[in-house]
Amino acid sequence: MHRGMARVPAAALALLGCLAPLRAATLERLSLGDMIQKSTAIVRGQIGGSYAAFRGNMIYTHVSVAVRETLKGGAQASVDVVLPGGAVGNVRQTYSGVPQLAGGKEYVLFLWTGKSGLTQVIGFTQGVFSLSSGAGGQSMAIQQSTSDPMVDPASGQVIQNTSGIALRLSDLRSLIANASTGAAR
Amino acid sequence: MLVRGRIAVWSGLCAGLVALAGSPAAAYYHFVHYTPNGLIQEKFDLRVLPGKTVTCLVSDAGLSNTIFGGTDSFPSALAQIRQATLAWNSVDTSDLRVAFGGLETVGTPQSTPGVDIVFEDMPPGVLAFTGHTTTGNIAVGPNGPFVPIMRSTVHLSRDFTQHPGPSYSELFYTTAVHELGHALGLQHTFTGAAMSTSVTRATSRARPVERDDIAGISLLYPKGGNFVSQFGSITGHVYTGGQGVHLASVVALRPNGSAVSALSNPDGSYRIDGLPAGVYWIYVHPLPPDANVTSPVDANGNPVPPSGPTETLFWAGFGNPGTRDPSQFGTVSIAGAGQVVSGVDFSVQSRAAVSIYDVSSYSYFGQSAVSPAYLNSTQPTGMVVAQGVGITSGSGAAPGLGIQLLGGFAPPAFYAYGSPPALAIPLVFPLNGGTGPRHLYFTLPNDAYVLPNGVNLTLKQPPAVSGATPNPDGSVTISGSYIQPDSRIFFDGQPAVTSVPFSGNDQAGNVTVQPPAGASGQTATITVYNSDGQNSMFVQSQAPQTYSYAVTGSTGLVFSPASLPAGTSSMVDVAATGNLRFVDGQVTLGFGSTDLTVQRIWVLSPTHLVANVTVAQSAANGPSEMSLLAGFQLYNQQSAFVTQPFIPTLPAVALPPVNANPAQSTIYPGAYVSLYGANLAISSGSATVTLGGQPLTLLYVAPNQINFQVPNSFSTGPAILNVNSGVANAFPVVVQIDPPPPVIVAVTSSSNVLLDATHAGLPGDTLQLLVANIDPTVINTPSRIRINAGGTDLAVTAILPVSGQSNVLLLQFILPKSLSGQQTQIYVSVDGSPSNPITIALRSS
Repeated sequence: MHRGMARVPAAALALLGCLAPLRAATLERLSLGDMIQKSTAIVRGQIGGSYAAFRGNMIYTHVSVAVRETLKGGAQASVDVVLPGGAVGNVRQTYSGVPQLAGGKEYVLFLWTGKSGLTQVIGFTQGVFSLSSGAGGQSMAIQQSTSDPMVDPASGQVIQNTSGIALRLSDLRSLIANASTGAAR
Repeated sequence: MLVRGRIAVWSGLCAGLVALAGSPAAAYYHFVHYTPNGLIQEKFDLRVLPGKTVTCLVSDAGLSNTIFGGTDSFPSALAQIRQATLAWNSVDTSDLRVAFGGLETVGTPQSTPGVDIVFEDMPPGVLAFTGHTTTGNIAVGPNGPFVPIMRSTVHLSRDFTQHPGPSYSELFYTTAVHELGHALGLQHTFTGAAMSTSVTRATSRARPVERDDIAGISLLYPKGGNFVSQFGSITGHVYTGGQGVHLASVVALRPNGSAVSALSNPDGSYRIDGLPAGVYWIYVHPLPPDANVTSPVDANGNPVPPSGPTETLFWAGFGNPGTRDPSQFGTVSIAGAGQVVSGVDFSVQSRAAVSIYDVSSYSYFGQSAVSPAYLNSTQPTGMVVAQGVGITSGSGAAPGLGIQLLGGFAPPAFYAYGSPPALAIPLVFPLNGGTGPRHLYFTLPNDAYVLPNGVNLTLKQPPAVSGATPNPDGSVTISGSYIQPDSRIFFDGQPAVTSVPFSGNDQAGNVTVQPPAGASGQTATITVYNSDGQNSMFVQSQAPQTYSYAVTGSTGLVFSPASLPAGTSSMVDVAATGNLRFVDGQVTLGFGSTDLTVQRIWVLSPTHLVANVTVAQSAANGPSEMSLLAGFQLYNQQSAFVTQPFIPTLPAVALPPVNANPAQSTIYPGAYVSLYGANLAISSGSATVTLGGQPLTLLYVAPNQINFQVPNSFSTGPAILNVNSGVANAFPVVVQIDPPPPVIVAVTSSSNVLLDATHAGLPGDTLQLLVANIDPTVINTPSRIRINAGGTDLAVTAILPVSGQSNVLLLQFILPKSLSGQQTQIYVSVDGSPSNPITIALRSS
């Protein structure tokens, strides 16, 4: 590694850790710790049926998620997750960046219920983790924004140093449990 | 293997789509539908927008549900949104006009398409998002078929204590510009433009929209339908393994300027339009996995996703394989309007993943990080910090990483530091390193990444404000360092008007401004914006200079009429009560519905204004909200205005009246005017018209049109026009009577030879225009003047007064060397009002 003639100021070095929010005006990049802390519920669940409906002038697609495992928040058999946009009759609303949830597929979802009472995925695609089998048959949780090509299907290992997150589901459980324990203290 | 399988499947499908689509138009970055008859886009239908203007309304729920820190306020947020609408409205090659329409009550029925802006709780990680509503219907307009946008909604966080707040920050402004771009029909691009995601966006208050944005909006809404022919174009294909690549991003990049880009079609074809004359590098790159680009849909509404990831590659000239070596980059020269360079093809390798993306650059000013990086090139060195996906590995730089600043800079050394790691890139500036944007270029052994406009070179430090001193006349003197003659001073989200120009030097100078009208007791944050893109928040974000407005009493207003039938236009009279004050250029009046359009406002005095309002014929009947933003003084009243049912027999004036001379856009004493409308006369002799109370002689009368001449002696300024059809009055409207247009008296060469159709001028020579009927104050604001020769706008090099003639000026300009032919036509316009054209002969030497 080369060393230049000018050094990054110490203050700048300290600031860089605070830069994440500045990097995104539309979407703020969240760390896994942020997502665990800021979500009101985290569930592993299977996507069931969906329907779209107006709420005021806005269409939301309501997705029924059959909860297989509650990683944070109160236990519930199913949760109604809303995604901005959808089609009601011949009226369609389109929002870029909204995550796609495939019917029948299992995900880990980082959820947030606001004052409106609607439950949404936090950070759009950031809060959606696909599940796939990794090396040794272990389940891997892969952040949707990084998509499948980020993982070598043969080894189940992450093959690219990405800003997205991919880790064993068991490790994710532990992280969430530890964070919850820490918060309880 | 999995990835390649997907590519093969999609390549096959996409080939089928192309066969269906025939010869698809450029995809650009719009919301696209592939239909059996070709590629079409989602956009507003200009034919149903009054004055081709889309109105943006803000939900009045923001009055109570927004959260502000410190001195920040809702009117400041509204002012920034208004500024953002002006950014898109200023694109003169787009036929779409964009207006800020004040507040609306949620749920107000409206039939005219428009944009709603709401402040609401956002899930963590989401700061703003925008969507639009379509019905799936396909309309056919003068530029072909399209899917009409019925409504767009911009969702912004109600918490201004979080990013992109506070409201007065440049970040909130550029975010509002970005979201409004989505609302108008644009998707994300990757060129550092307004429509780039905030990670790589490089726009500023000084340059809120880039060439890429201008191309995007102008292709969607071409003025006169001929945007493409006004600029150059580049076309070609992107292939991998012999198959077309769908949704590859192809970028035309000026070495020291902005970029224009397009997305490839399913067969890999692409077309980049809107290229000004110049030399370009061309490169192709894959969409990043978090591109947040909505895929085109097929005829069944199913998305057609992008092909899989590929490498990034520069074009290296016709017949040559692509390259990542800057010394091998091929260039495409665009000489002028209408030129199309074809066959700029790429053959790229697929990749398992996108190697590098989401790179941001930073520079540091004390404790503040600024992105993208701004560096003073008059210094010996500067430091850029880069952070992004794929440029680091573990705690170090990615193996084999190389970094360059394109455009004549030596490859810099760099090193990793911090956690998560970033790259520090010390730069050594060559002598005369120049100004403006430069592009950061990252290479890996088998891939590359370009960050357009990753570094902005300046010649000076950012401005800083050291004092804001109120003067007895209400003006404020701003003092500080690195304030420039063209600096703009903002109080929160509104620009101040300069009353005493800048004086001083870089180290200490001052400028006196008239602040925007403030709310009682308001404290506004002062920011100085320089034309090089820097602003005083670079160095003062922690403790910016503020200005406190005086505490005044209550404010209010009365207005009439408070109701109008659908399908009419009328003057509305507004009188301030209490301490409400109006300042020309700072007032927005709205009636809470996109069915009601405020065409123009005239501030007659600090307490009195009139406005022309048009109610759409299809307007939803019922009450709507009246709002007025005067500077930062906000007044609103729900259900204050009522739209009544359409009355088919009522005389109704269509605004605006137009000059019968199609070359003239203003109305002035002596001008012949056509007034259009409905039921204007019951017979040819029945109608009467008065202007400013003065009866007019009518030259032509029909139910839908009346022609008249403005009396030669008529005073300039607003005048009330009344029409009686013979049985009923139309609602009165206001007509602006402007000074007559400028008149070119003579054209002379640099040696004072009179030029005309037989006496030739030499391209490259400095010519002089003797212009009469010209406002002498344009000497202080040369931007009001436009000189055009042979269809090309030219810079005015000097404006000189003519002794003893107050309304005559001498304008100097350089006749461009690019002019060819026997003759050329020259005209000058002031505030958009064109002179008579004058023809001169051309000679070659």
